[in-house]
Amino acid sequence: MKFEEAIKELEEINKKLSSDSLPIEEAKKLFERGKELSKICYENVKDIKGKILEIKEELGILIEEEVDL
Amino acid sequence: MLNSITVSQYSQYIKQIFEAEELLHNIRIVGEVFGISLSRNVTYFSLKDEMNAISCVCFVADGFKDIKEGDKVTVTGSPNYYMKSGKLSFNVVKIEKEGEGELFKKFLELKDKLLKEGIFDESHKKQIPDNIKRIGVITSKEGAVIHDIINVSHRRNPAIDILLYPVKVQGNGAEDEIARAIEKLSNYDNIDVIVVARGGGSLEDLWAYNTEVVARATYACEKPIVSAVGHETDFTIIDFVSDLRAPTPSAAAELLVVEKTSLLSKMRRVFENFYGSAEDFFFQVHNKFDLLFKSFISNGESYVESKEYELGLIDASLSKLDPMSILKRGYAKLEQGKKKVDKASDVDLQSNVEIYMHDGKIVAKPLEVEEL
Repeated sequence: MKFEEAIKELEEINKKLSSDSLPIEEAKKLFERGKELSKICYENVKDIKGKILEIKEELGILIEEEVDL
Repeated sequence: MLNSITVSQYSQYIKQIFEAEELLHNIRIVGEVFGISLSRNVTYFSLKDEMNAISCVCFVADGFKDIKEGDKVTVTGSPNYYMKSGKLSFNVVKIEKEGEGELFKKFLELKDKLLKEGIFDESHKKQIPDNIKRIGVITSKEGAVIHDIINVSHRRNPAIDILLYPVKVQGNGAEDEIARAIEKLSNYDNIDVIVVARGGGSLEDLWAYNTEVVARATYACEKPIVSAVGHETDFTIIDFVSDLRAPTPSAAAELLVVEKTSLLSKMRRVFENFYGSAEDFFFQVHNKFDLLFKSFISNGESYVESKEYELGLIDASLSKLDPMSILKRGYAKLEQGKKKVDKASDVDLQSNVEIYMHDGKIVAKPLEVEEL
């Protein structure tokens, strides 16, 4: 599932959760789904962060090496 | 489509460009005079060489006393853009006749001689290497030239080594010192290129670089030589012999040390931009998710709270209805013969009554009924 899709669904869940007339069974399902979606989002965020750090480290070292020739 | 501007705005802009370009201020230009015309003490003429011509104007009253059509001259001045006519003129503040001085004659003679020998031939010129690490500089150890070269080179690439071979750059014996320096560095393994440099000066000051001994040493040199003598407008014999002529000493450093560092800093800039936008993107994504996640949690919590509250209300109203809770407050329920008695007048004095408390039952005999 894509990050954007997960975010969109999480937004919809939020909207439903704030309505007064939500039956308990429905709410339980939404909590479960929200948990899964949050996990997907968090994995994506962590992945991006890791990639950025990787790039910074690898290219940073490369550039420093070049300069120190 | 760009907005339109007025003629005056355009003119103003062009004028400012020429005024801001200091490299063109107070320069010397060599050329031949033609088309002299005099109007109210202002002399207008053109200066040309084999290929091109420029318009000049001279406000110096008797500046043109000895000058005639076809004379070779050196003019000193700056360009000026006349907004009224849209013409660019060179504003001459000094004009000197050339081609008559003793030194200049010698210069031309040597130039002719060496030209005929083929010493200036392009085919003899060596390629300036790309990946320069060490530069041998032949110049005075005093003065700004060596500092300019070091500064420019190191700003562009701090890893560049500069080896200075100090020489006299003018006066007696300067040409021999320069020629010997070129010979020495020619056989010195540890440099990639030689720069022969000197700051600006008069024809006399620059004379060592117009000598045959320096020209021949340059020609014979095994290593590529860059000449950087005087200002942009000064030409000396060594400029014709050298493998590359730099307009000034700083320019020599720029020419030699330019590409690698600019590539590196460009790469660094691109990388930093890339990293910056990657980080921005990350924070955006992270924030969006963070906000959403927090509101998901708080929505969930308030849902639970609202349900708990509802539950509490129901619980409270339920307990009000529970008969036990009434008995607990000290009330009692009365039955007679398994039938509920809720009026005093219904009590039969002949049979027992059962009084139900919250913790048990009392069987009692009614004695009397008093109606209220």
